[in-house]
Amino acid sequence: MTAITLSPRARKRLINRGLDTLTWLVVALMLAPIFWLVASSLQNDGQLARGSYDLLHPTLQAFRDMWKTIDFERYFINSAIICTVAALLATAFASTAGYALARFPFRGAKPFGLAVIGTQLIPGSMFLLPVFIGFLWIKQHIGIQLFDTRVGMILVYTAFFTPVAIYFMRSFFQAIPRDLEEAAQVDGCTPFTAFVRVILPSAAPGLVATFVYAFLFAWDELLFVASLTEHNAETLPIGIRLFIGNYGQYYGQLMAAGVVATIPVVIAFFAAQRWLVRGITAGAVKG
Amino acid sequence: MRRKLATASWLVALVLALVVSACGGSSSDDNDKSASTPAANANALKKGTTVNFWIMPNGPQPQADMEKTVKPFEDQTGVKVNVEVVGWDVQLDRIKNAAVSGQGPDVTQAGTTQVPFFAALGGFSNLNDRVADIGGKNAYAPGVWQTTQLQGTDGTFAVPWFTEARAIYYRKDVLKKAGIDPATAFTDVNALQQTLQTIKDKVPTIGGKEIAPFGMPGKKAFDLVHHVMPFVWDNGGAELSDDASKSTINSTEAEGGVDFVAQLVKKGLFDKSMLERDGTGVENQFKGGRLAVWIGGPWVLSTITRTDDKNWVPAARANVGVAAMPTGPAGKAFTFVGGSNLMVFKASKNQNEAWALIKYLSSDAVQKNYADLLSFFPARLAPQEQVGKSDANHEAFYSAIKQGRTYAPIAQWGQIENAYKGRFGNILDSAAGQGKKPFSEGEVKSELDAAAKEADALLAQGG
Amino acid sequence: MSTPTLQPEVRADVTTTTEPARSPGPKRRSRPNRLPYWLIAPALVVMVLVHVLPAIGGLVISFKKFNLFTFRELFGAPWNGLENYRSILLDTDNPLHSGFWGAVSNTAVYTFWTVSGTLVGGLAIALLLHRKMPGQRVARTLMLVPWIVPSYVVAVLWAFMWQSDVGIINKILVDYTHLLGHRPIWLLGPNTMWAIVIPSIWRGLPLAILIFIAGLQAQPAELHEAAAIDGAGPLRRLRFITLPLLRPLIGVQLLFGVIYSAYQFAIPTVMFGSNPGPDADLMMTFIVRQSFSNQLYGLGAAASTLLMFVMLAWVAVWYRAFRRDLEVS
Repeated sequence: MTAITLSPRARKRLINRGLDTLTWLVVALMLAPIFWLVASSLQNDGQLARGSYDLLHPTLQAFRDMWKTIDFERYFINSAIICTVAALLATAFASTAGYALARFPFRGAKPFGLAVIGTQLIPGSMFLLPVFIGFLWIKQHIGIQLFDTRVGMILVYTAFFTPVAIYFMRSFFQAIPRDLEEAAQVDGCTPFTAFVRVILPSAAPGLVATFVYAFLFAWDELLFVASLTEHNAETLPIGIRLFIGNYGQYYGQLMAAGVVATIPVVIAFFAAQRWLVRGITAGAVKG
Repeated sequence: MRRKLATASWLVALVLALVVSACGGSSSDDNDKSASTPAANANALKKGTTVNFWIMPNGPQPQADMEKTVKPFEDQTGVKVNVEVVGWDVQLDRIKNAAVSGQGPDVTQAGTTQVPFFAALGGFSNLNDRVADIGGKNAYAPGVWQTTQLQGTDGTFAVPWFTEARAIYYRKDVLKKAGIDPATAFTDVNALQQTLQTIKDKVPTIGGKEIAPFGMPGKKAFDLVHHVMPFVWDNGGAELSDDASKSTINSTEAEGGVDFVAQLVKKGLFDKSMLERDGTGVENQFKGGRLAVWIGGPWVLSTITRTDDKNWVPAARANVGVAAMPTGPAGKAFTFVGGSNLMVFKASKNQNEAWALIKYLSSDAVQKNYADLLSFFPARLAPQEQVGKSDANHEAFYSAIKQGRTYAPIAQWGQIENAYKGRFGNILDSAAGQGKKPFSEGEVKSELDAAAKEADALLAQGG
Repeated sequence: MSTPTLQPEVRADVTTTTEPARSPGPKRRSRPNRLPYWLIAPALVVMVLVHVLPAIGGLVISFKKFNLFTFRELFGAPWNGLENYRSILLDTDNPLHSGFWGAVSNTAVYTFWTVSGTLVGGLAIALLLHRKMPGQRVARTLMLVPWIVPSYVVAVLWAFMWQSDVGIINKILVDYTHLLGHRPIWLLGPNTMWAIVIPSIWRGLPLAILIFIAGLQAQPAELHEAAAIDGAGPLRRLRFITLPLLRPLIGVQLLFGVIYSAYQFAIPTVMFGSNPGPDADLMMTFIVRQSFSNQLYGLGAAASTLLMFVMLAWVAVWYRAFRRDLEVS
């Protein structure tokens, strides 16, 4: 057998092709579970429970049935409203706070910044019961019902996701040159007006990205909604678990529900992808 | 001045957003419509009231079935019933939250073993004055009536709704192929084991599909304890001492009972994958034709003829047999008798309407109809007997109810059951080769000792 | 999952002027210094109301005898001092004691494997995607998808796939590729740890990849070229140039990765229910189960507090190790 000697260039090309293939293999492996989610959602419930597949005959039956088997609509709408409003509010609060941290070396900036990070260190289980008790107390003494309401969940989510959003927003503000505000102030704006009329518009993509970032977190949240709701304000994480165990094994519908639950966040992500990625990697680029 | 604009604008935005979402929002104020003064006759029902009613998944179409059942009540009284289905895995927390917070439905279903726990929370109406209306305790079997009480108090906190007992389901065709006579297959625990062994040896497949002899859910199932406990009882053991003051789950008898089940796993008579599932999951595996023998409740019987239950495969659907639970070494057979009761929340503003609903659901005809629909047994004596005599499979369950047994009506039972559930799950996992340590008699003993310790600590809480 | 970028602290200059700036015009010196306080006010209020106050409430509960029987009294429940802590940490008679330490051990193992898997895998894949190749942009975008899938969907999906008899993973491993002779059981016993680690890594990789790619792109090409000319092979360059330059990024991901993993709740709960079993019971599932299924609120709160202190200790340790990287720029 003749030995094959490769020229250095050919060898390099071979290695490159090999690495390219490896990369695509890795991508395929990463996406395989998603593929399986979608493929299973197009199957029949009974078959899936027994483990038999018929990939050549997809059916949309699961997507139709899932709305009837449980009150999926209610969970979806609740998730949509609660997460959207909470993300909006969190972005609003975060934008002013993030701006303050980005631009003003004020006394208390450091403790405030640290406190914001500090909130992420507290485990959710510490809050659960006190917030529940707080809701009860408010109902008894002030007469406003917050337990199992969308308003209550929005308040809780806004509070939770504001800290995360603050740092995110801050990096966008830091990327805006100070000349902009200075120019605006030369023109007669107060710092706050400069903020509203000049800085915010330039940070608009950052605002959108922060909104999406907060929205992603809110959509994902499970622990609190399980404890602070009982019917009216229940969201997707609660609803989706009803497809198996209690009502039977509707695996096809479970997968279909998973697909439907993922679609909004996929849309949100890809709509803001460029700026979202920029926000996440902001620290990296600065090095 | 302008910086105050900053905070002001956020406040406006916040209020706007909250108003928007509140408008679109929750409709939990239906209850409040009827809050006003009672009519001249204190028990008159107010038309147009809505009674919020929580039920658990009783069957494959729980919402539809319940709505159908209460329609005559709604037409008759003008009171609307708003049915909501709450899953078994979350109902304990939901009902507890509702009782403590005062925000919840008017009536709820509750498991028979849960009533003392809920009653101890204090959020439920004492129905002592009302139960004469439906015949009082004499209309129910003593064991069933006991589930409405709370040890140490004098009240009646629930009304029995339906009863279920567990029995052995088996595939008639599999037994036939294995040459086993159903009449002797499950008479006592040894016969049970022998039957399973024979099935394993002679019938690994049927109709071209693999089939395992037996399966039971693992710690994921909310009712794992109900599956294992009958074997403990058969062996002469008990979950707690007679006065419910300490745990006896680690007695030699109890250990023998638990070990029997573990041995089924060890000997390969048990499909290990079933331990990954919860009760309904394993039920569906039996319906799907993957298990030859399974222990379950009467609700499965009605699904045999329901074409909307797609979990059945034809071979399984056509060949269902039911046998009573086996007797233990002492010659006595016990089975877990459970079911559900109905409770009224103290905070409900529609006490009369809630009671009217319960009374309706307790009438003999409605009891029988709903029970037939779901294939549970009515809780009331007369319709219960009626259903019991309807066919051979039902007779098996009816006699099971007669040999039924349940747990002590103490408030901490739910927690103790959780503790036992975890330990039983560990033992079964270990027998399946999935434990932290290899399976051995010592392993069973140490898990049960730990279970007893946990239970004792929980019992001590009340002090 | 949050990885906010850690910037060096804003140096707190002392601003002492307090007169309100009414006059417009280019007077930078009279920039009103109350504005920042108004700006942070909404966020601060909301954080105090929902984070600080309830956390203090949780701390108080940990010192009380708060269980099924005293629940009705809410904050009026009897005082229990340090008993909850002592009981859960030291009392071998307390059945929760072994559960607690089991959860601690499981959480440590879970965190270790998830964070290392994510960082190592993320770096490796980032290096692959950093190369120029056809379809690079598409590949990078596709890589992000696992991160977007909600955690509960991830959990139900993988629970579905991990089933030992009908799940696709065992089908591939045993039936299709014959890599294994028998079907491993993933959802019971020791393998349950892998059943939760693997989806966690899968879900965490995209973020790591994203951050590392950005970091790699920020590294000056001349450095690498110069080293190559000097004769350094790819591995040496990796070790002596790439990795040290990536240290701040590794640091940030390490910090938040550990915290996020230690507080993981959704994946084991949705996959296993409230009791994941002795091998996959993490701190959060243990605490939530004891608090809410068993109504042992006082003990649960004590365990939460202990967990929080461990995380504070972690931050302190991390700070000592990575302090230098923070002071860059």
